[in-house]
Amino acid sequence: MVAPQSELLHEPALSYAYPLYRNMLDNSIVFMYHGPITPDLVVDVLGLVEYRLGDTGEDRRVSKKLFNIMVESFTLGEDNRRGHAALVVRQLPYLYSVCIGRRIPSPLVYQVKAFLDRVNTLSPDQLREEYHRLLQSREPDQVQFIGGIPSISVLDLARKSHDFLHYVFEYVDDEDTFFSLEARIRKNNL
Amino acid sequence: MEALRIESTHKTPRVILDPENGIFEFSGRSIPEDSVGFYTPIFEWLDKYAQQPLARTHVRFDLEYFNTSSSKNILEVLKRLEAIHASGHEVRVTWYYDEDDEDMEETGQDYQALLNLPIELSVKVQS
Repeated sequence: MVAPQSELLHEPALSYAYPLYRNMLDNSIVFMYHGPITPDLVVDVLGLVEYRLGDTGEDRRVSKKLFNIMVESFTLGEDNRRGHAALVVRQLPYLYSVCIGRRIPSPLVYQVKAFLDRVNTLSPDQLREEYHRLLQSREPDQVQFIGGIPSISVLDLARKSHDFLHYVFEYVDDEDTFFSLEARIRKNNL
Repeated sequence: MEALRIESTHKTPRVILDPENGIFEFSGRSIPEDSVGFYTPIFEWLDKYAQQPLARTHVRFDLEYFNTSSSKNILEVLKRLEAIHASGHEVRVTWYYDEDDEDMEETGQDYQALLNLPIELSVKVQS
């Protein structure tokens, strides 16, 4: 019997399911998403994560913080011109991790890296001052971008997470680099 | 002048601007698709109200969550209220936050620091 052409081109779905399941289990991933990011999606995802947290009896301070960070993380993924974003939420015994990943133009990597490195050196007071400056700096419809990333959203994440922002750049091709930004919520910091 | 009433959706806040009683309210979530498009009619309404404001205006913000794009627009709303206050008409703002939501409390503190406007931070009473 000859396999249909679609099966020759694509592995049967079942062979993907187990590695994905193992990956999620081994890395404590409670939510993964890849696709367009819209306000409707944000609301739906928050509902799903709230449902997941409901089972675990998570402290309300922690879940509020997680939601606020997720809402802002989505803002960083809004650029459908270069493909859709990926969102991963991990739940570990001592922390939550919210990671947003998207393509950015490769020539802008150093600009984004320099900005993130600078944000990571700022004290809470300096972060607040910088956030206030950006909040007041422009008209409401004009957000300052660094390498295609809204800088005020990065500052907001840094303030809310009370932790360093973790990032990785991965080569896609000469035009694009995949940029992942992770904000962590350490339960003992709240 | 007619009241402005915008009903809430799952991503936009309920807005009530009542010029007869001087009571304004913003409640719910604010993550609109088009933040400027949502807030522009509110700015325009406030600009008209500023021409003949009541002696006293009370503004309640009772938001669940919002993104930084909305933060900038809320700041613009508050700046308009600040101008009314500066013109000698009392404007009082109450910023409600859930006691478990330190970020919402901190946002209220940000606005306190940035504006010359009485903003009272108030913990929501759980129903």
